[in-house]
Amino acid sequence: MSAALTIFIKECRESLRDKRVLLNALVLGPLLGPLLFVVILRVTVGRELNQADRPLPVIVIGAQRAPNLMQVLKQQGLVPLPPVADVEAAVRQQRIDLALRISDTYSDDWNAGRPAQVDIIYDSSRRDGGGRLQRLRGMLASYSRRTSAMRLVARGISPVIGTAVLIGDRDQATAAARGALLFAMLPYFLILTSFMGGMWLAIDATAGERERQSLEPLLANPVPRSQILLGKLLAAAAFSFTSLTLGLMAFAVAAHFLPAQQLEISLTLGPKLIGTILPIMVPLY
Amino acid sequence: MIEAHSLYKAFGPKVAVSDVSFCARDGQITGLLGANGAGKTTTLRMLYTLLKPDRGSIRVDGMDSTQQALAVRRQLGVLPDARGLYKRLSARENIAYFAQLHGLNTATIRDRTEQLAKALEMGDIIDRRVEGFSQGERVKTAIARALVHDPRNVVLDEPSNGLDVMSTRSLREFLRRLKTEGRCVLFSTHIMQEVAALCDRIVIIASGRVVADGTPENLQELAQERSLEEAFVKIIGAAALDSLS
Repeated sequence: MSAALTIFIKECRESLRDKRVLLNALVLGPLLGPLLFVVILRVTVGRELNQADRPLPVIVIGAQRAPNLMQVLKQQGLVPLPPVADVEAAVRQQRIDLALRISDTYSDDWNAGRPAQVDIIYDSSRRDGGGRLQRLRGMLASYSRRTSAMRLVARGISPVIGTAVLIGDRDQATAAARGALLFAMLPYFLILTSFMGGMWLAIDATAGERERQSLEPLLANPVPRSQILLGKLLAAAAFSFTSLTLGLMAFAVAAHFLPAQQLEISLTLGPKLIGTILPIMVPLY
Repeated sequence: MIEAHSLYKAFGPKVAVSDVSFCARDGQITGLLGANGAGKTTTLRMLYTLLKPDRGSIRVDGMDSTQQALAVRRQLGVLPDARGLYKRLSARENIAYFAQLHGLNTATIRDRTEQLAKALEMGDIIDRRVEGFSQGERVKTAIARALVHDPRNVVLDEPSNGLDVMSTRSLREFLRRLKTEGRCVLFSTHIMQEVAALCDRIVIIASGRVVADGTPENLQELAQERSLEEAFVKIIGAAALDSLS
């Protein structure tokens, strides 16, 4: 039996008896990536989807100046809240995240057919508010469009005249392709997994060997140092490889727990893909 | 047989070994005696090819240690100063690991391990994991590991370090047995009683050079002292004066 093989077997056996190495290389490493992936995605997607159907509570200042608008907004799920003092400061201090202000001149402008101003007060640095801000903006824009169209009709002009160019969105992305976008972060997880898998053994087999003072007796054996290095390298690579394989399998399982239908994407990580990924990762072991 | 000729080794500006020559013969126990920091460990490390001497040469059974390092290592059983064992492996697995690195086959490994376990009285610990071994049990395992390939030459760096009286006695017994088997036994120590009790030949090292070389009786005559300890102090003292002048 060659010396490198002897060293390989011994390093693997020793590491398999080390709970810390086992936990990191074969449990935490492979599971961490997929778990993070699923949890993060579920939380984000879940929040966005939930908000779409929920009532949208917004602080409204000067609601009495635009009863029509308020009625339409309420029909679409907006729940007007009573105004607070100094709404800008309240948003800045993050006490509230969204407010709508109907300007003092709203009714005058409305009646005169001039653009009537409403302000949305928000803080773009807050991540939570994004979806709700878009909903409010959408409601206001559609109200504006509808009213403009009715005004044109009242003056005997076809509302179509206001639309010089009609833009159509024709997204050709398939569900699988959208899924691929999501998998863009996969390589980083895989690199991390394979690194974590071999790292503990590599530390133990090099610095650890020296620290435990077993390097000197080892080097007194009639074995070229290259063989010793090769054996240790192979052992670290074997652990990397195992960790990566387990990680990929965990990802394949995790893909089933993703809210893929709600996102209209498809995520599949079959044996064929795994078979392709493993050899690609070889230089990293 | 181990022969060292005018060994010299320096680490940067610090000269660890400046001039060491001696010969350790088969069927004899040779003691390398010296105070702490005298250069014993460095000399031994050069013997078992861990360090290359800057000048001088070493021959083990006639083979040069720098040109035929692997062959020399095969002829040597080494108990280094650092005798770390793999604590998650059992004593038997620790021994088998080194035996495999020496290229022994499974049957030989089993036989040799049984022999050594019997000689070193480690029957009840042989299949236990090394983690939790006492100092004495660890030294026994390390010695068994060093001798598993049945080497002609045995080099031990302060083998009795940290051992209690009983363990030291059985260690001495074991070294005498190696001697009667016709092996060349070389060990370093700073303990006077040890060389007095064991050695056929004593090499005294002070500040990196050999200051005396001979049988215990020779040395007493040389220093004209009755006890070996007095002889040692006198010889070391003379060497210190020499290096001052």
